[in-house]
Amino acid sequence: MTLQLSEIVRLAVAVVVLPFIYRIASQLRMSSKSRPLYSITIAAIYVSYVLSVVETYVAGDFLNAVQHLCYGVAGIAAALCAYQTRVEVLRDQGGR
Amino acid sequence: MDSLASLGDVMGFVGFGAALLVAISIPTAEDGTFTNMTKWLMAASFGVYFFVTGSEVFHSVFSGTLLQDLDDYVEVLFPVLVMLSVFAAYVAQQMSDLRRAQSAMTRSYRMMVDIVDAAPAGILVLDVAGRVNFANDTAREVLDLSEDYRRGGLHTPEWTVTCAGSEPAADFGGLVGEEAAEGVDVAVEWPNGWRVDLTVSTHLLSERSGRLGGVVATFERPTRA
Repeated sequence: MTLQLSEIVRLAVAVVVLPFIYRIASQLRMSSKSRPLYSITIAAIYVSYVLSVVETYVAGDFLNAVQHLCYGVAGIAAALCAYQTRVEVLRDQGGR
Repeated sequence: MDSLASLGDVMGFVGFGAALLVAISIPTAEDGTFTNMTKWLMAASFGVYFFVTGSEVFHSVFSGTLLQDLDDYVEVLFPVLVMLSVFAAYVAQQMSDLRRAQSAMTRSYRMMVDIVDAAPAGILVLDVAGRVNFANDTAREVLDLSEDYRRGGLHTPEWTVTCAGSEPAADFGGLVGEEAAEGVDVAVEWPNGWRVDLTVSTHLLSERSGRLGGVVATFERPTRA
């Protein structure tokens, strides 16, 4: 496995925007159900970014599998998060 | 290990596909540009990984690299889209709070005006020059004041106002002083000779800087002779 420039750039962009995401998201009023789901989605994607770089140096096959499993975890969390958001939006609109 | 990786890709493909569809199906808010922006940015960020995991699945099934070459570049968009969607959600939240506060203030203002209008006494709010800025229903009726829809504010008749101890004037300037007053005799005379005698009490209004901002004048409804 060789390290590609795009993987470094991707990780760098992700690290640069992370403080902004954290700072703004911490001021958002989110429900206790959707916040952890959204956090899991983002965290799993960020872990996959780190693993795509680390797998070049150690435990290549294993970390590659974990990286792709992170996509799976992020996907499931994203689906649940979107569903929860939809339920909350419908409830808010119905309550107006 | 490859089968685990493929399982992750398939789970991601199905999960992000479902997330994308659900995000798109979130009802659009009629009054919220930023709420709608949040929805579409969130959908776009899910779409990025729907594409990325789809290209991995495509690669493992058809061994093609066309999409895989693209997905490295597409993936860079994810953190940026997440940041934009979080920012749009934050702005939407601030605007919603502002709308709610504005609505509460309007309700409170209407309630105050209703209370003031229901008072049997005449109530006037004068500026520092003695011009009428506000009048409750009783004051409007007694002083024949009407809404000036063309210029805004109140239309005052061409009357002559004589406050005790001051010259006749076209406004209530004689009531504007440095201290509150009670029982000031005021005569209001219309060009046709109609005259109303009032006994007025005043209360000073201060601006934040401490300067005089106006005067609240109250009077009993006069008994007709």
